[in-house]
Amino acid sequence: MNEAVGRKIGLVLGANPSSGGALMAVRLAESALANGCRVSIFLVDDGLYMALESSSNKSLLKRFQALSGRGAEITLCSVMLRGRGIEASSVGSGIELGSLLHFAELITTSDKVLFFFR
Amino acid sequence: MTKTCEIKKTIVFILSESPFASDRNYHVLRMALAIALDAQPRIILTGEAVQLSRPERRIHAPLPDAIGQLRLLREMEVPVYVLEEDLQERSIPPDDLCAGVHVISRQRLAEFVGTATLVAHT
Repeated sequence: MNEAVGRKIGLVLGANPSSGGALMAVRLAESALANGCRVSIFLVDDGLYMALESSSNKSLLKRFQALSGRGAEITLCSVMLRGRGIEASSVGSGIELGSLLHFAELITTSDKVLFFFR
Repeated sequence: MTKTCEIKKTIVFILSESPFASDRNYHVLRMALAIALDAQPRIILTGEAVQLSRPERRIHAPLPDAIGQLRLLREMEVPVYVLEEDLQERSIPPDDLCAGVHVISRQRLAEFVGTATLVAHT
């Protein structure tokens, strides 16, 4: 039996959309879902740009939205979004506006947490 | 009734970017603040981020926002460490740091990383 089934993987993504870290995070999330894990993703810092309709890497945004459709929770820090002067209406569907409270919850409730800032 | 004692997760945040180059340190320290009650964050300043360990009067540039976040963390008794060799490389004397910032060796850093629940290198 796959021991990963039901475990929760938390991904904190602060890398910009064109970085290797962003791609790795998406691949990992796709694989984790396929393995029966629950996935929660929190976007911060340059990772916010991944969630925007105007993202320079639209294929990654589509993969994010597909993850959301398969049950992954994807949230971004709306305070950081405002701090960068970005309208909430720019955020793609399937991605929730949240706060650092969501980050704290991800940290405390996930079985494994990975950070991607590069 | 059985009493349960929940062990808090230990999270090591390793900061290495210059606080003058971007607001990444500020956001990461905000994240550390957000979990300070539910977990046990540790802040390690390395590379150019060691500039944050200096007293404000020693910083000859507009103060980065991260300084205020770091002060709050220290007031909440979140441990803040700075890597000794990175201080030496920048000729920052270890006796001229903010109160509550502790100098550690690379070996001690490795111990922190080895025993932490999570490590975030930003």
